[in-house]
This record gives sequence, C-alpha cells and structure tokens, in this order.
Amino acid sequence: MSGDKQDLERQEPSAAEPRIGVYVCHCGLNIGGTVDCEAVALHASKLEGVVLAEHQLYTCSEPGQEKIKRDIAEAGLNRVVVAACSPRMHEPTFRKTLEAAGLNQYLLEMANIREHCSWVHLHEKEAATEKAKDLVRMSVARARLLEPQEEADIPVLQRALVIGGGVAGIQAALDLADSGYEVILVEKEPSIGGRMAQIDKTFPTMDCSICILAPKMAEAGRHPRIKLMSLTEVTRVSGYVGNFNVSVRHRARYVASDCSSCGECAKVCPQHAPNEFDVGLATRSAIYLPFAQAVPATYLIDLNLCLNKSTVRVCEKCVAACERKCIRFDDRDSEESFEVGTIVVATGVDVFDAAEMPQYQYRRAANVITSLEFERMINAGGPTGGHLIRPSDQRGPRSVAFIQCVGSRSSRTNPYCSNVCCMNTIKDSLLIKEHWPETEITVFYIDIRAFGKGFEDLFQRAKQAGVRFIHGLPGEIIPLANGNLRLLGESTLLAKLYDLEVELAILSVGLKPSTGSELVRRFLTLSLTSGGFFMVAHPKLRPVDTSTRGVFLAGCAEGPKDIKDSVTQASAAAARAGIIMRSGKVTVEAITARVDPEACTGCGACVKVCPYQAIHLNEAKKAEVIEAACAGCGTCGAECGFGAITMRHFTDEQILAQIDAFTEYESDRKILAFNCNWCSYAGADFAGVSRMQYPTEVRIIRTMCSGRVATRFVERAFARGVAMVLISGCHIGDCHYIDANTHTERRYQRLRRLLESGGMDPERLQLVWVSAAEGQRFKEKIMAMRKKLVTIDPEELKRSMRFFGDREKEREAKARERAARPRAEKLAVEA
Amino acid sequence: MAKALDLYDKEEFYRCLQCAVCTGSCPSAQVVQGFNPREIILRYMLYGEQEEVLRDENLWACTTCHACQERCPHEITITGLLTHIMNLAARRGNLPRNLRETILLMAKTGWSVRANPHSDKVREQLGLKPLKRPNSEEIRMILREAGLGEIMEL
Repeated sequence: MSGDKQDLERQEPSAAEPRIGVYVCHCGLNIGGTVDCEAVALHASKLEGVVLAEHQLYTCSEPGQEKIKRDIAEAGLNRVVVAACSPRMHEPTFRKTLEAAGLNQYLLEMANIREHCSWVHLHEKEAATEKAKDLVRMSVARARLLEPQEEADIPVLQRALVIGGGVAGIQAALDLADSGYEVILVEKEPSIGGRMAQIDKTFPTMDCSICILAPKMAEAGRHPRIKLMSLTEVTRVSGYVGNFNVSVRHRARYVASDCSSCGECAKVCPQHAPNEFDVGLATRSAIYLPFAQAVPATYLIDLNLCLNKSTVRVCEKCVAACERKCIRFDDRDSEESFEVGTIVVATGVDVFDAAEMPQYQYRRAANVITSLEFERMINAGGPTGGHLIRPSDQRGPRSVAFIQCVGSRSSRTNPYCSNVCCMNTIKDSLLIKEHWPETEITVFYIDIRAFGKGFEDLFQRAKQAGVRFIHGLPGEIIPLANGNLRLLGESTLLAKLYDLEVELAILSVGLKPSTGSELVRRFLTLSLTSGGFFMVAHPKLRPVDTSTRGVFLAGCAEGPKDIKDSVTQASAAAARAGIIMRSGKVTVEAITARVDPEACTGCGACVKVCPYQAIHLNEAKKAEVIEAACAGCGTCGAECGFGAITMRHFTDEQILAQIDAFTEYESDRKILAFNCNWCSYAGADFAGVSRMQYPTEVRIIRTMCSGRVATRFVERAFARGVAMVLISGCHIGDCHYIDANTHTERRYQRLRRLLESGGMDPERLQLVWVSAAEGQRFKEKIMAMRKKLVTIDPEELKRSMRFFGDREKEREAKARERAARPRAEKLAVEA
Repeated sequence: MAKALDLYDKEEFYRCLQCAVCTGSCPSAQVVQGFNPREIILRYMLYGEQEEVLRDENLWACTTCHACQERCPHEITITGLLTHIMNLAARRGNLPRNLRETILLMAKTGWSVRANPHSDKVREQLGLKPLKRPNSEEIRMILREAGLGEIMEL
C-alpha cells in the first residue's frame, strides 16, 4: 500500500546529506517572553546538518510558512525543525507547508518549547532557554534520521452508527440520513426521545418540549435510511476509522412490531409498577408503552413484573386482548453484528441522586422533590395532569422554594456547573407563576448563570413576575409535622439569617455522566475530562471530534448542555462524520510497523504483544504485518530483541539519537521522560495550557504509545549518564492501543529489577499514568522526581553508566555475531 | 501573620463559592448575632483582613461542632480555620472574660464547673461516690503545655 518505491526515490532526501532548517517561534510573547529565542536559534545553527536557523514572531503565520517554503526551494532544505507549540496543535499545519514546497511531510520535526517549556517555566527564563536548546538539539538529531513516508488510504464504509437516541442522537441520525448515508440508531431504552421527552417546556422560548421533539422522533422512526434499534445496547466495538465492527444485543420485547399500540393489553394487565418515564410518580402495567409519543410505538413486556416467567405461563390476559396477536412470550434476547464507517456517541446524562445530600431530606420528606419530578408534574400529559401538587396531601402549594446547585459545583458530588439548572429553575418558576400567580416562589442560589441568548430576558421576566432570588443556599431543610418545610440559611446580600417555611421544596438537581457509557468509552478508547464526560480532540477548534478518528460526540455525553447546544453539536458531529464518509477513504499516518525478514528469527514475541493481532508468522516462519490492521503503537518494535521491526517515523535510531542528543549536556542533573501521544503527552500539554509551573529539569520524548518504550531506550539513557527516567502513558484500561500499556508496566518492572540487581537505586526509574486531563498529576510527578534528583550521588551515576554500558556492548557484539551468521551459513550451503 | 497563613493550604479556600451553607448550618450563628463563618472566610482568607477578624470577639461563638465543615460543598476545613484563628486571637489578647475565668478555674481546681455541696448531696442521693478532687497540678501542666501559659498567669 505505502511502499511506492519509485515515488520515494524521486524525492531522495534520505540519500542526500541532511540539510536542516530550524525555525524557532516566539509565538508573540508566549514563548519569546520566557525563552531567549535568538539564543536558541544560535545554538541550533551550530548543530550538525543545520544549514540555517531562524527565529520568527509567528512561524505558523502566512509569512512564517512562506519563509519555510522559500528556504526549502532556495537553500535546498531537506528537513525542517519547527520549535514552537505542541505538535498536537500545529504539526498538520507545517506538514502541509512542507508538502506545498514539494518536501515529503514526514521530513518535519517539531520541538515543543511552548506547552512543555515556556508556559510551565514562566519565571525561569535562563533554565527555560537551556531547556529549549536541549529540546531543539534533540529534534535536530531526530530530524537527521527522518525518512519520507507515503500514507496509505483506507476505504470508509458509508454507514454511520449513532449511539443514543436522545435529541442529540436523533438530530445526528437525521442529518446523516438526509445527507444520504445509512444510519443505525441504537437506543438502550424502549423508546427514543431521551431526557427532552420528559421535560415540559424548554427555555428560553417556553416551547412545549414533546411537541417539538415528537415530529423529529417520528421522522427518525420512519426514515428510509435510518435503522432504529431500540432496547438495544452496544456490547463491543472493534476496528478503526472507516471499518468499525459493532456488536449489539437486542433485549427481548415480547411484543412483535405489528403492534398497533391500541393499548387493550395494558388495560387487562393485572400487574403494576412505578413508571420510569414519570420518575416513579405514576404506575404502568407489565405490558406497556413508555409514553404516548414513544417511537417505536410498540408495546413491550417487563418480564420482571409479568406473572409469566420463562417457562411458567399463568396469565394470558394480554394475549387474549391482543387482536393482532402480537404477544410473543418465546421472544429471546438476540445479538447482531454489523460494520460502520463512523460513529457518533450521544449517550447523554443521568440525573444526580439528591438523596446523597441528607440535609435536604429528599426521599425522607414527601414534599421535597427534584426538578425532574416537577417537570413530569407540570406536564399536562404527566401523572397529575399538569397540576402542581404536594405529594403529602395532593393539594397545590402556596409557597415553593427552589434550591440550586444540588449535586453541582461541589467536590463532594460533581465539581462542575451543570449548565442547565439555573435557566431550568427560572423557566419552572415562570410556569408556576403562569398557572398560579399567587404562589410565593423563592429561589436560593449561589450564582445565576443566564449566559445564553435570550436567557437574561427570561431571568428578568421571572423577577418581574415576583419570584424572589436569595443568594445563599439553605444549610438544611427541617420537615414539619404538617408537611411544610423549614429552610435555614443566610441571605448573604443582607448578611442576615433566614428561617423560611414553605409548602414545597424543589431541588434543582445537576447532571452527571451516563453510567451506561463506560463500555462505549472502553471500546472506543475515549478520554474523559475531570468531570467524567467525554473529551474532545480540541476544546476550541475540534469541539465534536474525539482523539479516536471517525468517532464524534454529540449532546450531554460531551458535557452538560441545553437542548439547543445538543442539537447544534449533533449537526456538527453529523457534518464531521459526513466529511469522512463522503470521500470514501481516509489516509492513515505512515507510522506502521515493518519487518525485516532477514533479521527476523521467527521467535513470535511480537505476535504475542500486538494488541490488534496485526502480526502473524507466515509460512517461512517470519513475522508479517497486516498494515491495514496495524495502528502503529510500536509495542512489537519494543519487544523485538533482534532489531527486525522498524516503526516507521518512530524508529529505534531516531529515538536513540534523541536520547544521545539529550545527554550531551549535564544529563546527570536532568530527567528524561517518555510520554505517549494520546494521554500523557496531551496531559503535559494540558499542564502547559493551564500554566502549571513545574521544575525545568525534565525533557520529553514523544512516542505514540508508552508500549513503544523499549528497555534498550532506558538502558541507553542510563548508560549515557541520565540521572532519572520517567515512563508515562495512559491509565491501564484507557490505552489508545487497547492494552499495549500493560507491556509498559511489565518492562518497567523488569528494568527496576535490573537496576536493583546491579546495585543501583531503582527509584531512578519512574512510571506514571497520566490522562489527557491530568496536567496536575504530571506536574506533581515531576516535582516529586525533582526532590529525588538532587539526592542522587555521582558514584551511583558512574555505576549505572558502567553497568548499562557493558550490557550495551554485549548486545552489540551479539548483534554482530547474528548478522555474520546467516552469511556464513549461506557460504556453507554454496560450498 | 505570614506564619499564621502557612498553617493553611490556602488554595482550598479559593474554592469557596460563598454559597453560605456554612452559616446556614451553624447553630451558633442562629443565636449569636454577628458571628458568621462565611464572612470570616471571605474577610480572613480571601480579602486578607486578618487583623480586623482577629480583633472580633464574636469569633468565640464557634463551638467547633464541625457542622459547617461537614456540609461545605468543597469540603473546606472551616472548623480548622476557626480553631486556628481563635488560637491566634487569644495570643493577641482577644479572649473573652468568661473563657479566661473558666481557664483560671480549671488551673486552680482542675474543674471547669466547680463541684459544690449541692452536687455532692445529689450524688449521695443517687448512690454515687463523692467526686474526687482532680490533680490540679497535672491539669495546670497540661494547660501550660497547650500554650495557655503564654497568654495568662497559670
């Protein structure tokens, strides 16, 4: 696929002497304010292979890019090093610059002197400049060995999977289907509609929620290109962009789709239980339709409630009542697998359980309800027919209190703001005032966040309608014998305590990540932000993409948001997925493994560690890579003891050259870190973006996966006198290459034992799992290592240099012996 | 003063939302006007008005019952802060008369509430042994060790 030899030879830069151009970016004052960019460029200009080194105000700007193009043409550059921001930010930009100038894009190398240097060492200008020099020198060393690569095309199936049938999932499915793609919409509940179906009115327009949602639900249900799977859960996803294999389990419905939803069955059913849709405020029978507008409009049987069990049949009332003979007690759960090209994850949210805060008496005092229960009560189709009543005595309350931020903005529950509760309460207070203007309404809040279009107007309207807003949450609610509630707290604006008696209290509960989405997260190797919601590839510029290609996010799965934002994001996700499917192909990075059959001994170690089963031993007992299945993690390359596997663009030679360049100056006082592209490198970037300050001693080498870090890399570092080494990757279970990081752990343990057996301090090697959101964790690790670093004694360093130096010599001797052996054997055969 | 703040992880106080759950939960604030834990966090930690707070005699309304800390959404160690402020205030001479007298009583008799002929009689009626006089020398030593010796003559 990618080995178009002629193409490569035409460009021939690898054969030519390296002619490297280095561009040190000031990034305005972002880098230039801390790092002496001129000094860094001067340092770079003296390095081997560098023909020019410049420093520019903004390298990513049009003139900056033009300069690179011109230098490639005029100075005959055949490698480019850009010392600027994280490659996760601008590597694609500069790769395009190179391509435009006729240079293969893989001949670019970036030194991250912003996120990993200037931003994290704001007040240590000299040390930051020294660090930037090291990083540039390491990059130049790698650049000398870069090779041109051709990217392979992978076909993309023009079918999308949408997981979750709330308003976001429905919108994404409709947009994709209307663009001409086949869509499979999977919903775990019996009906699509999600949370929006439960809500009475929407803010700030006060539209009837189900009235505007039901037509969309119906459209999704009958769209010729949407295959709707309700009562279905995704059980497994494998594969990669363009070719995901999806397995689902359909739960048995026990009612055939011929059902006309006439409801005769439910009328005769003797069994009743609380209705999920009405949050338990009303009942349903064992055979039921979740709600009137449900799609599909097919009844289902809750077999836990039904009198009939798998083999025991004691009641056939529904069977007798069903004219169309739709009841199927022999229905069973079933499995299905299919392939899709792209996936939209719209798994939504759960609601915070207010019983976790006992001071508010939820589930202890009848007249304390949640905002979701209120929505069902105030809804004309709800359990009380739209009448707001007190659960204790079924009469309308004369006074109502709303308590905000229940389960939000708290380290005890959820640390984030749930985004919708302020406006929801304002809307709810207006609904009460609309129907029962005499009701006294008090809203207790911390901050009213009315930030969206039309929100402030609604807030003002509520105040005009006489809703009282009091800053300061109640400390507790005391239930009284008559069902009333006493709220004790402080109105901070008056600096006075209140002791208010109300007839009904509504807890404005926050949103939390859907528990059901954990499985999806694992299969799609998605990252989470600190609140537990899915993380996007870039918070500003790629707000619906995930770091897994071909997977997009929509709605509250990405973070709490209102209906409008969910729909906006869903349409964006559909458009992004459409872009990939439209062309029918995607290019994959040319970072896959290559096997040298001459060097391969057929030991099969690589086969065992490959997380994708992308390597097998062929008939000649040589390892062979299935390139389409290879994701480029490099675990095989790290495992191979015979140098038979080359990881393209992350070769042993390139990484060893980086290590060697690192050790040229004062490595006895520094920390070498290996960070994986997806989690820990991104985590270190996050520390930079957040301007977390940590010691300057660390230098980071990026690998795709921590599984790429071969023991020989670490050994080389110690042999060259590095004081401390850190290996860092995704948390176990979060690895972007399934489970490649389990091998990291194994190698780490082996190296620690080796250090110990050689009489050295094993603490000099550290391992830390850092997610893309855990900049703080990375910072703390470096701070802890810095403490250790200053205590390491020079004798210890000499010991490890000797120990690992000897081991390296031994290894080299063996390799020479191996290289010579086949030739000798060959000669013997010829003779 | 800098030393006083060192005792605290000040960062945790930046998390304070001024939601007033602490004051709303405080049994002392219900009865002592002018005692307000929320306001103390705001003034002492966030606005840096340490001197003024340390002179405020209402501080001593805190009974260290921990209700504020138990309910604080960000688990801020409010009681810890108040205890620390009270310690500091006492060293600066802000110690209410009634507390000062109680301490002196304890130092003298070993009791914070003095046993009297009436309580002895009640004990006898209930079949309890008469109270032994505590070793006030030992208690005085404890009080001195706790730092009270620096504030008053014990």
